[in-house]
Amino acid sequence: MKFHQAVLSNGLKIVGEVIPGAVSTAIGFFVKTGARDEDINLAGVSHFLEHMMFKGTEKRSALDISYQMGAIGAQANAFTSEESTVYYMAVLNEYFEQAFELLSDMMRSSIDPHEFSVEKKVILEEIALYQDRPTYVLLENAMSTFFGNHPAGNSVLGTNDSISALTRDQMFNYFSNRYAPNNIVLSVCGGFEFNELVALAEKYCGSWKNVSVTRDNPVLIKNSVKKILTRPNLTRAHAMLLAPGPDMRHKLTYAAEVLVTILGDSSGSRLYWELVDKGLADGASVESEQMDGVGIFYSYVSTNPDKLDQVVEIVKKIVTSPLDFSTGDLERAITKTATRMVIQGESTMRRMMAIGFDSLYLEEYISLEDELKSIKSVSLKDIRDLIEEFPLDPTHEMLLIPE
Amino acid sequence: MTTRDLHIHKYSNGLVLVAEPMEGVQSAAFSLLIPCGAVQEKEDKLGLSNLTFEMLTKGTKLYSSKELSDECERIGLQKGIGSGMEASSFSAQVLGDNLKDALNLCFEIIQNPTFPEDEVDSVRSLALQDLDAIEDEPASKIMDVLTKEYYPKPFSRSTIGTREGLENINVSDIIAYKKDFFLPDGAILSVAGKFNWEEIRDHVGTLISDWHGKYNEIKISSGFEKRRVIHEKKESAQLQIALAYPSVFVDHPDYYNARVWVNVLSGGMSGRLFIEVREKRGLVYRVGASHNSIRGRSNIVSYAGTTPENGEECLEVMLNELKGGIEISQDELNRSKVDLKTRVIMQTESSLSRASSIGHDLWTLGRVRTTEEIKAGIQNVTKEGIESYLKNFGLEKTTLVVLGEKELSLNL
Repeated sequence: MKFHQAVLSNGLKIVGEVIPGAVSTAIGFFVKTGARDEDINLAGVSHFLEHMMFKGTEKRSALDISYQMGAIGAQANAFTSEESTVYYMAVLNEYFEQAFELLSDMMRSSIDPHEFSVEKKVILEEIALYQDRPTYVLLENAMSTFFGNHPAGNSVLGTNDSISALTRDQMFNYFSNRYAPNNIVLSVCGGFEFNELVALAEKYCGSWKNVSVTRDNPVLIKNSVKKILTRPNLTRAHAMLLAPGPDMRHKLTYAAEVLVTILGDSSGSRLYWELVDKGLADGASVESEQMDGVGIFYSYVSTNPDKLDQVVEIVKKIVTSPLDFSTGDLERAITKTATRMVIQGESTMRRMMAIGFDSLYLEEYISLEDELKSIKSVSLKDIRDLIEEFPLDPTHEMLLIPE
Repeated sequence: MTTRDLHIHKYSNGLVLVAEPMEGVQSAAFSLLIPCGAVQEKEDKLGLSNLTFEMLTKGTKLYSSKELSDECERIGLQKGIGSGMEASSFSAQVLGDNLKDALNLCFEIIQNPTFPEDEVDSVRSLALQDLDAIEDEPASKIMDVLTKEYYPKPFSRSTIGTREGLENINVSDIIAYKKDFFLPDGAILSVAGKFNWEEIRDHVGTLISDWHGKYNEIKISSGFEKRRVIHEKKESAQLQIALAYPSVFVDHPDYYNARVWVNVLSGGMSGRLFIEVREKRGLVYRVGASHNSIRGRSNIVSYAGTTPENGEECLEVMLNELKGGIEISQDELNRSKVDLKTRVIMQTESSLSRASSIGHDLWTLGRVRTTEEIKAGIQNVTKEGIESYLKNFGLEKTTLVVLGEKELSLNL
């Protein structure tokens, strides 16, 4: 495995890991834009735009794109979060050049007005789909309550109203202001030649115009809220407890990964033994969501409605005594996390994602070996320091219960 | 990640080991397939297979539940225990250097579980909660209803069980189920990734010297029901539509015709369903079809979620595409083949998916197909082949299930 990087004169950053013997190559464009970069009247535009990138360019109709992806067997998709929009494709090596040309052309969508109106219906269907998922409804409410006026809590999907009112020209403006090469990272991993990649990028992305792009990162205003949501015909009850956590550039992010593994991994964690093993909750987890300039620790449980109070008390007890573990627990959590990293590192897609995000936000390359070193060197002191700065006492408690 | 030779060995107790060493990976994965599942359960104990498998990790002769979990974590073993319809499995992925330790744990768990009685209630509670959770997720619920309505008994069972069945199970049922079905003769251990063949073959031999018994396969005859429509009322934002009808199993001459056809319908973003239902008409976010196999039988299952006002149009367009009235162009056929072949090749990059697929092939077919054989099977499909398949296997025996506020009718 060998790492390479380059920057085009228009600011497009290129990172790549070449893996000898790999039969496939994964390509991704990482755009530093998402729901948090939207004005309130544009809620959902980043995600809607992500759909439109598959719907035609100056050279290709929407059908051309679909058919040409099919013709090279591209396993392609895209996703939008609060802060990033990522487009990716994995192909067998022989189709690498065709895949690159296609994906880079797609990145300059024409946002065709007819396709815009058809796709709007698809977005409204997607909103309806998520309304039928209780955990999604809870998560979205929890994020928006936790972040308050901070844009990191903006809804990715937007609402029926915001999507219905959105115009093609508003979307085109947003695209022009955000999809500048200096706001994008190109990440590639697998069986390809880096020199060839740079030449292709120069040829197909070299003409993209750079624009000054900024992102607001206001200070998160601390508050504390408890909220109960209800829903008819619900059989399960769900709770989410949130507290501020480290952001993605914090020096203790690895300590946070190990700590949440100890507290709330799906097996062998403290929540697992206290709740799942005892049959009190069918799901219990603690996560560290590390974002751009902000971060959250959140715990999630689902249980029988009559057990909710008891379960929430147990979760609180565990997250407010986060140091209650042995050195054996720490060592096991480190082994578990490190093994997962190595196994996931065997997927070209996963590595492409990892180096793409690292380049976009950390502006550095972290090899799998360095990541493993960082995980293996997490000490009790690191975790103590982390908790000193971010005590896990929940500031926000969100419940979803039957009406 | 290239694969080397495939090795097969049958031990004297009947257990079959199938293994494929891989180059360029650090990981190794295995899957121990035991041919038992929901179909073997007695009518009044539905969920017994599920509870038995969940109870396996609650303690063994050598380890308590906590010790077992710590031991798995010490070697970084990620395990998955899945109780299925006809076969269940214990699968795991570790770094290759820890494979022997992982196999030690697996065979300790399978051969020597202690099934502590005081753990049964918590395991049962989780299974009951799983049943409840399905009610809250329309996209899961629709597949549950489709299984129940489409498949003949006992294949229509839920692999979780039923509330009555789960409540009726005690620890002696679990002990008896393990005794009857956890037997080496009929079971398959498949391994893929970084390991040495002779070393693993001999190591497994030492782990199973006291394990004996032959599984007597219960022959279950089944015929598919006639066409029917089931509507289940539910308050939800979207209407869930799912339908299923018979296709051909992997040993049938039309098998690759069927697979390529389903890929024409639903391969990536160029599939006909995606293009017609979503891209051109904007009727759904999710729509698709898949070719699903259980042992000896295959079915085509198609799904869409749409808001109620789009329900009729969505189903009409889906059915039109599934029937295949429009001629397949050469480009379309080529696309579908490349897409399918790419998926097959990419799956060979992961030790876990490779271990699972070689074990599954051996169980369902009695042999393991090479990647080359699968690629050739796909390559040889012609337009005429698909057309003749479609003539013989239509939608006459379709079961349609609709979940939501609105009823739909099935007009073929």
